[in-house]
Amino acid sequence: MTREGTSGRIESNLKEQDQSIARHVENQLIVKLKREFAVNQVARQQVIESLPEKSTVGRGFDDQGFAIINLPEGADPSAVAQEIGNHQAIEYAEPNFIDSGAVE
Amino acid sequence: MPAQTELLQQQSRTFQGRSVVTVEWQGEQVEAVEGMVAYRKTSPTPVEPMEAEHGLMVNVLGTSYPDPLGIGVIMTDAGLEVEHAASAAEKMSPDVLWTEPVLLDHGTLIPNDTYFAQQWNLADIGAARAWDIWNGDPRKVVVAVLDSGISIENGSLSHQDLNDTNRFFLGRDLVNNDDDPSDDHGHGTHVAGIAAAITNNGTGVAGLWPGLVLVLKVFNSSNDGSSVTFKDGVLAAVSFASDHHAHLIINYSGGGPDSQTKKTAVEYARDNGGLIVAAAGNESGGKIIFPAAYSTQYPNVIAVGAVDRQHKRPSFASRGPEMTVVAPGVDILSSLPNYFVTLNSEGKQTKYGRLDGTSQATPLATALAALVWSKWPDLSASQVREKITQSADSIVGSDEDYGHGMINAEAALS
Repeated sequence: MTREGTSGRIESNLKEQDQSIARHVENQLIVKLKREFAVNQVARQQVIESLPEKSTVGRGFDDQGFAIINLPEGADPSAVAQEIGNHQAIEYAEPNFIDSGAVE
Repeated sequence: MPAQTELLQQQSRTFQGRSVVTVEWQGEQVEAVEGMVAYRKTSPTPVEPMEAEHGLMVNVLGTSYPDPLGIGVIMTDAGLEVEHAASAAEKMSPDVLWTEPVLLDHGTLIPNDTYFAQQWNLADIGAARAWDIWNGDPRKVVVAVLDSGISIENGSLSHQDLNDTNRFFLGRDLVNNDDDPSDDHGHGTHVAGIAAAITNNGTGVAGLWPGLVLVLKVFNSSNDGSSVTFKDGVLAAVSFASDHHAHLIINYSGGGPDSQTKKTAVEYARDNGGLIVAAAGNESGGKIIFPAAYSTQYPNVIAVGAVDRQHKRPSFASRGPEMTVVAPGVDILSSLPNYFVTLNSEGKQTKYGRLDGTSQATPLATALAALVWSKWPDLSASQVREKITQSADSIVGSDEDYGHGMINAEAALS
């Protein structure tokens, strides 16, 4: 079963990372703008334009400058996060990591 | 719910219409009935009412006193100090052997829930005694359960132990983006039951916390969430607690990798006075997962590990320097949805079942924190954490396995 929500396609698209617990939602990137740029439309647009081609906005920037970006098929969110992380308006960019309930 | 009301009434701090007060008696702080003094005299002749010091009246309780043992009770105006009342009683009759405040004894509430005797987790942290001495306001604190949801059918709370609409509030499903936090895995219903199942309702299990609960669905039918659903859950929980003028405790029986998003959410909870109680993880002796592992960076985070019936770390549980406390997490009986969910396909029954995990330990620590905070509402989140850690029973072994030790509900509320 595939569910599409704010967390993206969690159930069918988990990607194993180096550590067993560091899984993330495939093709999804979280971008958080610095406080001073959180509602700056120019900064928002610049950040979106710096993303790989065919990226789409999954959830647009909120008042805190937080957005979810859908990257094109095959893109590595960690690599993209590193590439755009130096932009002056960005506080951080990272994959949308998976959490799990801690039951046996 | 009548049963719940009964339980709450039991917390009332009056006795025979008089307030229960803490007084110093023989060098110790004890609970006594305000303005009542017991005496024993050698002769059975009654004492007479009289005016004591400070113009306050001393009256004799009942006509049958003193009893055949020579023991009687006098009642004073409520404001009269114990020592003044005692000296007044001695003056009333020359043959008074002794006087003392009417000291309060506690009955221990044994709830009538069908499976209470099988809830070793409640027994081992002293839950029954804790209920007796707890006198908090159950609406001062909201426990937000960020998990896979709760048993809901036809849009309504459907589990017999989790259906009190005065206590359980349905928040959003942040996985599927709707207003229906129905549990499709089973984990959330189990966790909610451990923390807050309706107690003393003659059926099922007992829960430790009798107050407000907010249900937010952040895990899907595979029991997975993300740093975003965690953050969204924290935001929703902070907003709810603010609207209800209640302290916020977030129960997160899960976790994963470190993330900026998760850390930002923890800071947001901290800045809004919220406490986060999170599972240490089931990494089989491996590292503690996040957000629990933020416990050494943020004083509003409690990392909860698990112990078995022998109070030892089970092999599945995580360990590490970030461990705050431990609680029972093996063979834990609690509620499960009435209908078929993912856990049933893994061999569990509907309605009730036993599960293992730091997931099961966490809600007991959450519920205890809620009892503590509702009893002392002026505390900060970090002070509540201190109460929990300082009252924990240390366990012989490594701090990385047990932190400050196993939570002790009676000690935390004393």
